[in-house]
Amino acid sequence: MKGESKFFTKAIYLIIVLLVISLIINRIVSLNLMSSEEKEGLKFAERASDILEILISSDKCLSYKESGKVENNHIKLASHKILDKNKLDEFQIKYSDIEPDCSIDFDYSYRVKVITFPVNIFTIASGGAKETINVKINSQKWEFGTMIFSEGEAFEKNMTISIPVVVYYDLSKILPGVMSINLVSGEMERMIGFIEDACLTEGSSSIKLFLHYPTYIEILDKKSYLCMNFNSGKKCQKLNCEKIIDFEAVQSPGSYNFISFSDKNKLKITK
Amino acid sequence: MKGQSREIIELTLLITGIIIVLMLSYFLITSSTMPKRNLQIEEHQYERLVEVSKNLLYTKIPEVDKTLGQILGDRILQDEEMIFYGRGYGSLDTKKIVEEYFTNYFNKNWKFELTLKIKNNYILWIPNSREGNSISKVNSFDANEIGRYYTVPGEVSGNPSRVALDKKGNVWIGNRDTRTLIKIGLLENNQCIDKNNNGIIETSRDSNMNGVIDINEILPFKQDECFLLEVSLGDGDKYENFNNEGVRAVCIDKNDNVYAGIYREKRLYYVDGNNGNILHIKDLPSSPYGCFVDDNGIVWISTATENLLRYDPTTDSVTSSRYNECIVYGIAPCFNEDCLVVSCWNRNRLLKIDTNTLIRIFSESTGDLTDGRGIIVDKDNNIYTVFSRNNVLVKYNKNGKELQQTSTCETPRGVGIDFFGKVWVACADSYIIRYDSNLNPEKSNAFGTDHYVYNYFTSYDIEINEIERKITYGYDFDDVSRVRTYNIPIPVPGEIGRYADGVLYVW
Repeated sequence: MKGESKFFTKAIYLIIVLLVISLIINRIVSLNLMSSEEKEGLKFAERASDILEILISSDKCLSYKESGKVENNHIKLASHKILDKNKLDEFQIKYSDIEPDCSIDFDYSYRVKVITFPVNIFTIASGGAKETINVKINSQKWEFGTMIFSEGEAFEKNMTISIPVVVYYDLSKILPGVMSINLVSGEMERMIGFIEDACLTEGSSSIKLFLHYPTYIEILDKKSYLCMNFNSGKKCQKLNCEKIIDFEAVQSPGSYNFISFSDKNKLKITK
Repeated sequence: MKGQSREIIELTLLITGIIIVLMLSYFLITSSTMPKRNLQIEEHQYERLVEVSKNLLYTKIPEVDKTLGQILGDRILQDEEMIFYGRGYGSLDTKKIVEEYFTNYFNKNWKFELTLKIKNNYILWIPNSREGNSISKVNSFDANEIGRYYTVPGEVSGNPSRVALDKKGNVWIGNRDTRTLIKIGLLENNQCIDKNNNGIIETSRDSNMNGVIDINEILPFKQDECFLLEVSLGDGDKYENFNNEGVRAVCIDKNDNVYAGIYREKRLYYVDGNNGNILHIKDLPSSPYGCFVDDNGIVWISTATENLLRYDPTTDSVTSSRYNECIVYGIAPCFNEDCLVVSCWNRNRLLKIDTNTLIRIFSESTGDLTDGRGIIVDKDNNIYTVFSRNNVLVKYNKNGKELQQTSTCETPRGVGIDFFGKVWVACADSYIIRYDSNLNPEKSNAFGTDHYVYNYFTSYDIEINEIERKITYGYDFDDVSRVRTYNIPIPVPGEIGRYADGVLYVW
């Protein structure tokens, strides 16, 4: 009897301990799994924020330079998130379908929208006022950046974030609005990033990529385009690179090791 | 037995171990650490909050010429949503502008509160004497006239002159041509009354923002909702024409009750500052010309003769002291010392008198300077007085030695020191001028008529009470745990470095 009860107790104890240990291990492993997924997601979101920040704050991008005083010296400062309307107009034309030079991303692609809120303000005649004012301003929108993104199997993920901004028209007109960015990750984006990066740096580099769709370069109006034949049809994205690109086309899905050779005028990419 | 004890110990250890392990597991499984992703989202939401708040200070609507922050700064200083913009602009609905701004970003999930503690010590009250029949309210930052109030009905000659301010910044003013004493409330200190309950204080304002109150910006006598009291002193027709010999001396004690003297009747009245009831009447041996109440509650009265009167309300007794070399005209207390100073009208003298002994501390000649009128003492016991014949303002040290002299407007009547230490002179030619403490002129303005005031038209030595003004826009929230807040200071016009506290709530 005594021996049996002892055995029984120890057995229960063993089972409970085993259960608990397995629960703990499961929990720790789950945390780790979540952490690595989260890390990727965090990195992606941070990148979107960073691009917005550069576009807003850099005077090479959209920032309006205010006149300020530092230690009694008058200088121009880009100290707050004020967008210059003239630069927005310029970006809308110059970068209507490519990323601006001041903020090219080599891992992802993005498109940016800026919208101002409509204004409808009027005063009421009072206190002997002979006239009133009525200010009606429609919402205004600007867009620039990459036009074409990965689709189907080539698409990985995207994220859209926005931030409040003000747009400087002139001294008497500074309107509130919102700037948003759509950041995309996928095969087309990585391929484009590799080409643009290789274009800017002379020498050699390589990347291993899995491509689901035929991929090749086309020339239109002396501009290079990277094209992919998605299920929905052929889609081509303009490249910033102005060198002559000799790209060994990809016909069938697979993993490829691309190697680039870049000199002053030419970029050769082989697989 | 030994075997059984051992088993019991083992069992106990076993059970204890299991309990500890179970508790640890429970803790791990139910732990509620926020995933990093949620933290990032929170951070981004706060960034939005911050940017929307800061953009208030930059957003500027064409033709309005002010940023949203400036509009809010103007709004918190006023008591209604419609901001007067003058110059043909009419008035702007602040509520509509602010609500549209925040709703664009946050729909209906926001609330904005703006709070300002106000101590309205930047106001001057300047009478418009003779046919002016009114008193003006002036902003001491820019010398602009910001309100004007009649002190008598249209057909009556009032000739308002002496003023006194209470602790709430309200003004009492005596009409020299009648037996009436008027109290006007300080709008900026919430002292006016919405008599018709329409939610707006209807009062005189500089609607066209030209720095002067025009005729169409003054409301008829008693219709202004800042007009608080009209007290008739004594028996007889209140608008009987006293021809300069009506209410002359006006001063206030620490309870905000008023002493007012009728010159012709040689009588001093003690008036309840809240309701205007006459609390006491005292006959005087001489005509009251001007007065002040010292820190001990003693009432000192000038008489425009060689006599200085001292009235002690605790004993209800009056004593008269004679100073042969002086016409006791303008009087003012010293600062934190038991003395007073006297400008001696056309006797070209300046006197300082010990208020305990009534003995002269000094009696100094002012040389060619004559017709001394208003007089005041600063915190260093320097003495400032104006001479109407010479059109000068003079600063003396506490011993009566002249330190500085400067020219003024035509026929200066009165001198005062404002809360910020600036010296003001009011003149017969309708000008007022502000000087720094070294008598360098800074600002001036002309409005109304002859400003026949001697001193005490500022809140210099009055502890004006502080009020808190709060305005709220937006919507109410239920769940406090979901609310994010951001504090943003909104600059307020006037004093440099002054801010209202803004708080934005978003959920």
